[in-house]
Amino acid sequence: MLSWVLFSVAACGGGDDPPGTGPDGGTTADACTGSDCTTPPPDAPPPPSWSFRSVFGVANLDDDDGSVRDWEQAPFAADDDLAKLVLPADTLALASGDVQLTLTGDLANIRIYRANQLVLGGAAGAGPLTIAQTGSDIELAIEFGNYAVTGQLVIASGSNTHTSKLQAAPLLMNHHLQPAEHVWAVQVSGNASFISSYQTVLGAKFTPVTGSTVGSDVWMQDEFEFGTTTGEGNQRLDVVIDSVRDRGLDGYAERAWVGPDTIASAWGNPQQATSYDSFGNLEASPPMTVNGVAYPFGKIYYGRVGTSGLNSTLGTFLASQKVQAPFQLPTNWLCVGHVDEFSSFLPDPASPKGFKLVIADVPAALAVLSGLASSTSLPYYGQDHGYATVGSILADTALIALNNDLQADYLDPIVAKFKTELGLTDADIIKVPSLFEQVSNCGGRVAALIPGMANLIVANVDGQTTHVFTADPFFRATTNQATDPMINAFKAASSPTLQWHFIDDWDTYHLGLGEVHCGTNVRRTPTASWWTTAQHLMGGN
Amino acid sequence: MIRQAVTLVIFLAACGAPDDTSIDRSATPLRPAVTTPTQQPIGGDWRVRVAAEVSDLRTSAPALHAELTALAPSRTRAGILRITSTPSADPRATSVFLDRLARGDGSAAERAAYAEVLARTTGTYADALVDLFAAEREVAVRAAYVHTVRRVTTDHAVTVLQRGLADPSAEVQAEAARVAGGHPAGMRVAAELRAALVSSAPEVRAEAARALGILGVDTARGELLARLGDGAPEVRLEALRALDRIAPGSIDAVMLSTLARDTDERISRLAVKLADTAVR
Repeated sequence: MLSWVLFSVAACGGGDDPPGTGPDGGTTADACTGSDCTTPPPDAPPPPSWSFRSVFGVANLDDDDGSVRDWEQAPFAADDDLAKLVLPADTLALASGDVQLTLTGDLANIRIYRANQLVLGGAAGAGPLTIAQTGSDIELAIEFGNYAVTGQLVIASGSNTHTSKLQAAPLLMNHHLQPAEHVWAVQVSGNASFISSYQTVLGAKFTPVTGSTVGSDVWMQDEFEFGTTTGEGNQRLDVVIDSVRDRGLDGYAERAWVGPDTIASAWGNPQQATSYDSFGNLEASPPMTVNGVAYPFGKIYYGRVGTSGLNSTLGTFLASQKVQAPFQLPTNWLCVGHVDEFSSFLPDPASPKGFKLVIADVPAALAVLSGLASSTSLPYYGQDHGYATVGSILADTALIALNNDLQADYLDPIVAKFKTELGLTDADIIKVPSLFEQVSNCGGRVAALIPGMANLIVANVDGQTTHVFTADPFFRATTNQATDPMINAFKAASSPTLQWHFIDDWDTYHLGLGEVHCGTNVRRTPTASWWTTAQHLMGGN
Repeated sequence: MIRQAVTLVIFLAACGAPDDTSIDRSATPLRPAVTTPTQQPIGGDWRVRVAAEVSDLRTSAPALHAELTALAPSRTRAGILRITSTPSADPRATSVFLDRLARGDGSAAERAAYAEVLARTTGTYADALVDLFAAEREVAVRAAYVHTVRRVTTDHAVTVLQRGLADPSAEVQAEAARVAGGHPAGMRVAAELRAALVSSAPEVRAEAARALGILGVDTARGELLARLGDGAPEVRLEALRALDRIAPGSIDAVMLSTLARDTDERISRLAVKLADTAVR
C-alpha cells in the first residue's frame, strides 16, 4: 500500500482552481459541493457535476528508501512524493458507462498508477484506459519525473468529459522574506568570532561545518543554493542546487543533506566553471508586483553580461521554471563577480512592498566620510588597505575617481535595472555606504574596501525576530560599534524591527574577497502555494 | 594622495587630535598600533637584512617563525590565493615572506600571494621588490610585485613601475599603468604611460589612458583624443574620461555627439552627460 500524500481530492466542481482562474477544462456546470468551496451554497445543494480535481505535485527525484532515485523504481510504501487523485464514486455515478482516461502532455515525465500498476504515461502511453464502473471510487497515483512538467488527464464517460490538469512543481529559489530553518557556516582557524556570533544568536539552528572536512572552503554560499518544490498535499522536496565550482565544499550536500525529501543537482559543466558559477552570483528577490503582474515568489537575478556569467545551462533551466522570471545584471567589474557583493534585500514590515532593496552606493559612503574628521583613525584600514585615516581615503584621487566611475558605469544602471524588473521606486531602496578597490591579480576588477554590508544574511528562525548578520565595517578606532558611522548610517536607513549583528569577518572573509553572506547558507521554509498564486506565470490562466 | 603605511604615527596623531570626535575613548582600541613604520630610508643589501631578521626571528620567536614559514595562502572567493590569517599582520613577517620569495618557495600563485601580503605586513620590503621583480619569471608574481608598490613611496616604486610598463607581459604593463595612476610618483612615468597608449594590448591602452587622466597629464591630450576612435570600447571610455579630467569641457560637441551614439552604453551615457554639462 502506498503511503501517498493525502489531500482533499473530492470532486469539487472546479472549486480547486486557483482563485480567479476558473475551471480547468470542465465541460459541465460550475457547481460546487465540496467543503472547501468559497462560494456560499444556494439553498438547495446543486447536483454534483462531472468534474474532478487537478493535481499539483512534486517531481519524484529523491531517494526515500536509500537505494536509487525513486523515479527510477516502481512505487513503494515509503515513497511520499506521489500525488493521489480520487475519482469519487458519486461523481462517476453521473455516467452509466465505463470511464475512459486519456493522458496528454509530457508523457515521458508523468506516470499514473492504479493499484500500484502503471496504467498511463511512461511506458504505458497515453491511453485511453478504460475502467469499468464498480460503484467505488477510482484511486490513482500521479508521479512526476521532472520539475514543472504538465499534463492533462481527460476523464470521459458517455457525453461527459472533464480535463484535469496534472502539474509538477517548479523549482523555486528561496528569498529573504521566508523563515529561516537552519544556518550553516564553515569553521576554520581564524573565524572563531564569526562562528560564535551565529552560535550565540541562533543556537541549535546553526551548524558550524568543520573546515578540515571541506578543504577549509569557507565559501558556503557559493557551493549551494537552496531551492524548494512543494505539492498540494504538504509535499516538499528540497533541492540543493549544487554549483559546478566544485571546490572543497563539493560533496558536502550529499554527505549532510541529501536523503528523503532532499536532493542535490548540478547544472553546467565543471570543466568550464568560472567564479560566476558560484551562487553568491545567484539570488532571488522577495515577492512583488510589476506592471500589474504578481511575482509571488519574487524574481531570480544573477550576474551575466553577454556570454560571460552564470553558465547558460543553469540560466536556461531557471528560466524554464518561469515563476521567478530571471534577469541578469553586470558583475564583470568585480574581481569575484557576484551579485551578492552589491545587493540584497531586507524585510521592512512598514514598507508598502514589505521589503527594501539593499544596494551598495558610493555617494552614500562619501557622504559619511565627508562628515568625519579627516584625522579619524582607521587601524584596520591602515594595516590591510593602506588607509590609516579618513583623510587618507578622501585624498586618494585615484580611489575616489575609481569609485565614482563604478557608480556611474555599473551601480547606477544596476539600480535602474532593479527598479524596472522589480517595480521599485527610490523609496524602496536602501543605499549602503560602500567603497571598492582594485585587488592584486584581478585585471583591475574590484572588491570591497569597506567590508560589504550589503552582503548580508537575513534569518528569522523563531517566527518573531528577524536577525540580520552582516560585516562589521570596522570604520572606527575602537571596539565600540555604536561609534561606527557606517553601521549607524546603514541602521538608520533600515527598518527598526531588525535585530542587527555586525560580525567580525575581516580576516577570513573580507581579506579573502568575500563577506558574511558569502560564508553562510540558509535553508528556508516555503511560504506560498505556486498552484494557487503563480499559474499566470506558468502559462496557465 | 600618499598612501604611506605609517600607521603608528598617524594613529597616534589621530588619537590626540583635538578635532577628532569620532573616537570613543572609553572603548578598547581595535588593534594594537603597528610598531615598525615602513618606507624608512633603506640602506645596505636587503638580502643581508632579511637573512639577519629571519635568523633573529627564528631565535627570538621560534613559534612565530615556524608559523610564518609554514603559512599557506587561502583560496579567495575569486579563486586567487591570498594570505588572510592574522600572523601576516606583523612587520617581522616581512622578512620571512621576502625570504620565501627569494628562495622561489611555492607555486606562482603562492608566490603572488606572498608578494601581495608584503604591504600588509607593514615591514620593510621596498628595496627587495626591484630585485625580486627582475628575477621573477612568472607573470602573476611580477604583476603582484607591481601591485604592491602602491604603498611604496621610495624611488624603488618608480623603478618597479618603469620596469612594469616595459614588461613583456601586457598583464604586467596594465597593472603598472593602474598603479601609476594612483601613485604619488606616477608623474615620473608619464612618458612611459603616453607610450603605452599605442600598445597592441587594449587593456594596456585603457589603463594608460585612465592613469594619464587621473594624473592630469596635460601633454597627453592629443594622444588621448586619438584614442577616442580606438576600436576597443574600454579604451574609448577611459580616453573620454581622461580628457574630461585633464581639461573639462574641452571635447568638442561633434565628437561628443558621435560618442553619444557609441554602442557601449557607458560611453554613450558619459558623452551625453559631458555634452549636457557643456551646454549648461
